[in-house]
Amino acid sequence: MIEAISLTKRFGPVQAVQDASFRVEKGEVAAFLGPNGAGKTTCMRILTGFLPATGGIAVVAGHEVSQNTRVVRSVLGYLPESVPLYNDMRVREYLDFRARLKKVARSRRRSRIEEVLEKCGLTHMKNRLMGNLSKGYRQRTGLADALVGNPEVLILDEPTVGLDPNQTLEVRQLVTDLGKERTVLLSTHILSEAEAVSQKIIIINQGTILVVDTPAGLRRRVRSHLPIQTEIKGGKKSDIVAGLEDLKGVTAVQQGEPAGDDREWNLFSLSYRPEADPRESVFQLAKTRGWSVREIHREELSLEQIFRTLTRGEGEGGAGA
Amino acid sequence: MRNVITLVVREMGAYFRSPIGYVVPILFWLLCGLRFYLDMMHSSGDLNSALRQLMGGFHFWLLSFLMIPALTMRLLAEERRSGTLEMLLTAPVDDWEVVVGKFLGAFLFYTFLWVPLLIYLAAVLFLGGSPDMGSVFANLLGVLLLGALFMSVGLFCSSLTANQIIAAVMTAVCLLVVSFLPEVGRLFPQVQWIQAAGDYLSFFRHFDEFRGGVVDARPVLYYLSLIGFFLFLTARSLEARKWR
Repeated sequence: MIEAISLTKRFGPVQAVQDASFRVEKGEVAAFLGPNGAGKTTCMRILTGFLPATGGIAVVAGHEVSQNTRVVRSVLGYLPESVPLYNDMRVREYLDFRARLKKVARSRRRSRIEEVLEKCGLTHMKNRLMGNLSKGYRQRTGLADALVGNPEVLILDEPTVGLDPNQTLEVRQLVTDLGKERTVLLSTHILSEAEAVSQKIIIINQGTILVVDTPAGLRRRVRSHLPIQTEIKGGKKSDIVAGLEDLKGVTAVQQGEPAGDDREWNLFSLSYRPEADPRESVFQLAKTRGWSVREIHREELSLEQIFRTLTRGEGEGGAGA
Repeated sequence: MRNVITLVVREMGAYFRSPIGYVVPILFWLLCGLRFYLDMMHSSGDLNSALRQLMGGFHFWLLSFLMIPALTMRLLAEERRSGTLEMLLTAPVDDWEVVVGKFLGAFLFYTFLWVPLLIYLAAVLFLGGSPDMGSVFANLLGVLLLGALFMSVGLFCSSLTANQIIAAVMTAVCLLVVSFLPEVGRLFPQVQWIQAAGDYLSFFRHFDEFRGGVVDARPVLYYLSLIGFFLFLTARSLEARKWR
């Protein structure tokens, strides 16, 4: 279990984290989502006891971090952002060193190391010098290190950065498996990743937590603000705009330029009321009027849109994509 | 304590995995061997004087001032630069364990540099020489304590920066400045206590007590307390990340 109660961190005049509160339960994967410099790493460093908070309380596995740093670290697996490793050591040798520091009993050390090597797909790399590893394998070594002490709580700072698509999927799968009996907090700036692995998304921007919600809840909050884009030809522009504006639930229609040189195609962007989904009626309208339609789609949920929506408040529409 | 051993083993290993772990010993042994040979030739076989030169002559000091910064510069500066310090300090180890582990690892490597001396002694004994063993071991104790003190200064300097070169230069400068302390005392001949303090703080004078062949508790205590002081400063400097 991880709990942050109004955590605050200042570096001199810079307010890195402000009044951050959230909770991650055992058996849950939570994703810290935010752009670079949002305060994700600082929050994680406070939770690991590497940095003290200026204010607020951090609790990991039932221990207050600033009071019991040593205990907290012994139940914690941490993968720092840039995965710092000793370039002069070999993978297996390094994991042995880390396992000793993490008090893995001598009798179980060897098998535990083999186990995490296997789990992280490193078995064939175990005798490589870490200085010669590619970014993906460094990332895996860091992950293996985080796991070697069999920790209750895992804090992973951008675990999939620098991995190729296959490796990314493997790591996500690994995190999902780990999350079944552990507490996992990971950070990412990729929304789809947060949606794929976590049961809870914590969105942070400029040091402030904007929202804590499930992926489904988040989608509900933001979806109505995503404009629908459609490309239509065959009628007069003004007729099409008027027709679209008359559709049920549509609040505004904006015209845009379609990509390429197709002058006969017109691009429209529709805003609509939260409860409505006018995609079907767009098609019906075009059918009855005899227009051609080559695209109707709702914009993908993007991090920028989430930020824009959440910081702007619920009331306003999401026009102007 | 087990953490300290783990850290010492890693630190020793790190020396042997880097070129510095080979370049420094080879140069050191070559120079010492040459020095010992020349002294034996020139003093027509005065063994004790040659040994005293080896452990306290001009070249001894020169090597100490150059070699020890080179051995200690990496210790914490490199961890800071590469970010591995974050890995180390988020493992279940205390700051002081890291400091002591690093220090002992470096000190053991320094001790290893003096192993050939024992081989010289064995050879000399085998050839029928009669070195003043008591004096040799007192002198060796002084050499090790002095090395430990220099290394604790080097470790502290290494904890202040992420740049190894700066750490090495800072260490050499610190050692040189301290070595001038007795001279500062001499600038104020009429103020007794400045002179006394300068003399007392100088590692030269305490070192000479060992070279006389006497092991007194006072110089031992002098070295141990200064070493402890610098290790304490190093631990505080690691902790300083928390105040920023």
